[in-house]
Amino acid sequence: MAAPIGIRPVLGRLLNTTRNASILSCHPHPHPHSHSHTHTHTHAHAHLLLLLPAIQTLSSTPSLTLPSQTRLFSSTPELSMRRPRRDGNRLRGQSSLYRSGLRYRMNIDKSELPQPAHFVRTPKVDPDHGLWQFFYSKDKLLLTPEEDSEHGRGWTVEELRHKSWDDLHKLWWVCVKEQNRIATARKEKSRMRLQAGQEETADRLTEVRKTMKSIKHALTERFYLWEDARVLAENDSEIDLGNTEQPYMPGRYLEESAAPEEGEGEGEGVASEGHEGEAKISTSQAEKEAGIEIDPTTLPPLPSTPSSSSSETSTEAEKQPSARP
Amino acid sequence: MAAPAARNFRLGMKQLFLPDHMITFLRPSPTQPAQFATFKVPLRFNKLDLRDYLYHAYNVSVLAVRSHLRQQRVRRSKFHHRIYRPPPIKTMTVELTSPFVWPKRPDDLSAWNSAHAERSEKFSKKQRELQRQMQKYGKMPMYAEMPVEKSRIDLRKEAERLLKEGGWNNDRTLDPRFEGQKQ
Repeated sequence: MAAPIGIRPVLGRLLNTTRNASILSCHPHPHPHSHSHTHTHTHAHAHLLLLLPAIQTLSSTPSLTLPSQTRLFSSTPELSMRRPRRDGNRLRGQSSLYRSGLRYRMNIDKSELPQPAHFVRTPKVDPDHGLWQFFYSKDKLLLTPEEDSEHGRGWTVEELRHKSWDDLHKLWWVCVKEQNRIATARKEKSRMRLQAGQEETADRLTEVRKTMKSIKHALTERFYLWEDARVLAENDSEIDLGNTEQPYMPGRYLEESAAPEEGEGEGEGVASEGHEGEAKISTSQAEKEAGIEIDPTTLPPLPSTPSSSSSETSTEAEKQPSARP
Repeated sequence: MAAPAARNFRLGMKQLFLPDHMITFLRPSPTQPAQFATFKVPLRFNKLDLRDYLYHAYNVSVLAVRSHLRQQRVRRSKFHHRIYRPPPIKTMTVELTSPFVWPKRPDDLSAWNSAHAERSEKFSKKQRELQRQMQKYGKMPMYAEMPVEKSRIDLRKEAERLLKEGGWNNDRTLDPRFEGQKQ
């Protein structure tokens, strides 16, 4: 690159001649003149080396392979892939006075210019690329109508009522991705003008949409339950919502009724979670202090298994309203 | 689940738990480089939305997003017969960190298109081309200028043979019920 402008065309011509000569010398020559050919060839090479050693390094470009770099430096498309900028005007650049065309930009002849090769880079795609999730598999672009119809029904509301918020959230995202996959396949099919398989795709999408609707239905139900429970709690004199530690303060009638099964009550109260357990402990302590006899038949039935559903419902119901902006 | 992709942007703070947007991944044009990916997105999407959506849902980090609105043609409504312009289509082209190449299109399309559909598609393609030519040059192509079809060549051959040799035969055995009528 350091060559002065004046000698650049000369250098180019020399390079071209040497290249042609080297191509010629590759073939075996039956003629006796072949010797002289090679002689001139080497001579030219020597000239070149004398003229500019930098050219040699230019012609033998080292292969720069960086394994870590996955993307190209420039985002410009390949030369061979670019749209030609020709407008088809035969008289482009001609002077109306002199009838002259464009002056050719380089000083060397056009025929001496090397032709660029039609080179298309084939990029290496990461097998774990996230965009593969827009397709059903890596080697198959589209599903056939038979494969497309191989799907079950969507989830019903009754099935989803028993699921936790995390499960529902995961299922929602599965549905969203499936929707995107269906949309991608549908667009590609219409671009390829494929006729069959439209109804199958529509059925699949319907089932996905049904599931999504059921998820929202289940969550809305949960939210209404939570709201109802909150309103009830506000009106209940035994529940203090301002007290986050122990909102349930049981009334007098429970304190009177929990005496006979002190040992049992305490053990079960510790094992069980939730408000009932806490209430039980507090009542048993109150009984100890007061020493009042309580009839066991007046006690509310203790839960046999620790029920975490109420607390779960509350957390999910809390999350639900924030889901809709 | 793979490790979260490296990113050089700040994520949005607003939490969205149940988004229901439909994103369509569009096949790139033949001249589009592999480090670009185009998506059809809802109109309400902006560049930051798509960037965060791809990062969270697909673990794809993006270097740049270019947005493009394509206006649709004016249509006539089927309901009130007035013309209206449908809402534009929003596509966004993202620059990926690692290139992505679409899977190849299948060679054999018999699973989607029946033989009859292929034939009708071929015919309609021919008609479309003819109409395009007519609109471009403003005249019908002469019948003699159109390429001769193979069926016409066969018919001509058969006619010549009939004139020379005679003997009408369509390679079908006649139903015995029509034997009497023939005479």
